[in-house]
Amino acid sequence: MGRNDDLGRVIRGCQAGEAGSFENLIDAYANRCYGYFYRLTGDREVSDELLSELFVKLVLKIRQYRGGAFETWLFRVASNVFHDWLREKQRQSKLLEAERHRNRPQAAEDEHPDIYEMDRLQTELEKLDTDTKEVIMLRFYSQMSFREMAALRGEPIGTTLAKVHRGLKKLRELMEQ
Amino acid sequence: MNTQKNENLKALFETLVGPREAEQAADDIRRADRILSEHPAPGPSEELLAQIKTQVRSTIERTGRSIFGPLLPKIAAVAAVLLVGAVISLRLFEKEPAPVPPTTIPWEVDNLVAQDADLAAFSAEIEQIESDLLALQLGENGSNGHLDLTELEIELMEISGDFWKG
Repeated sequence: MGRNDDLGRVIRGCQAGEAGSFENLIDAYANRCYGYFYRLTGDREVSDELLSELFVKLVLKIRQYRGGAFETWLFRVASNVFHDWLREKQRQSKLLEAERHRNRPQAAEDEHPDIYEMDRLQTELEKLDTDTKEVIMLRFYSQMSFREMAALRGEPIGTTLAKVHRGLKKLRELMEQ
Repeated sequence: MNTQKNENLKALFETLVGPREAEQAADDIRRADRILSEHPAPGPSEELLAQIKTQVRSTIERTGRSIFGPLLPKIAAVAAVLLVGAVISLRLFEKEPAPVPPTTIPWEVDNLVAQDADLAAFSAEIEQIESDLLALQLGENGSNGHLDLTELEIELMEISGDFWKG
């Protein structure tokens, strides 16, 4: 029996509300999804939160999955979880900024509490803008094709290709310095 | 991690740029993919995974009936509600059916009565003439039978013509 048959059985189990099937799904995808969140946030605590949120969301949404590439669907949900967090973070940053104006000075490393534990790649990734970072990580962790990514992002495939190429080239230059 | 998905990167880039630039772009991506593979991200801890599994279990228990309940009873319930709604609507808006007027053909009724009267009158007249004619033929009234007979025949023809004109 192939991997797709196994995955199909696990998904059907999840759709029937079987906790065991969800555990199989967690075992199969937790690493990749965690890597995706970690590379985007650079923060283990945040990645922990986002991964928990993702799987709880999957419980609530799994019946909406109607076939097709499961990983594309899964990473679409993961991408939404990340964007929700990003919006909340931006809202918090504005509040924090307003607070900072009132009570100076503040420690600079508050922005990235994990910054001194980051590996080299993470440090260089932080130099890319969020959208470029996301498109690179989406491709790497979801293993989507460019066509699937373009469809997910609602943009022409040429735009996705150019963005990934530019971002990866820049990242390689930074890593090779 | 292998992210290639058997995509022909060069062919994809050739839709945007020339063959040499496409080859270069595909090579850039392959080299960067290697760097990403050589720097794996940390994974989730065992504690986190156990915690997520517990959380998932409790979410299923909390919301299970509403999310994972079989679809058939839900569909049946919706169909029942629609059916009841339809029946109530019909009852509310139903009216007594208007009495169907008897199908009548006015010209037939009117003319039948009139024609019946005419027919009776003509029939009586014809009978009278026929008996007169017979009497004449037999010479019972002692008159000039032949002339009278001719007059009677003419009169009979006129009456008959009038009858068919209506």
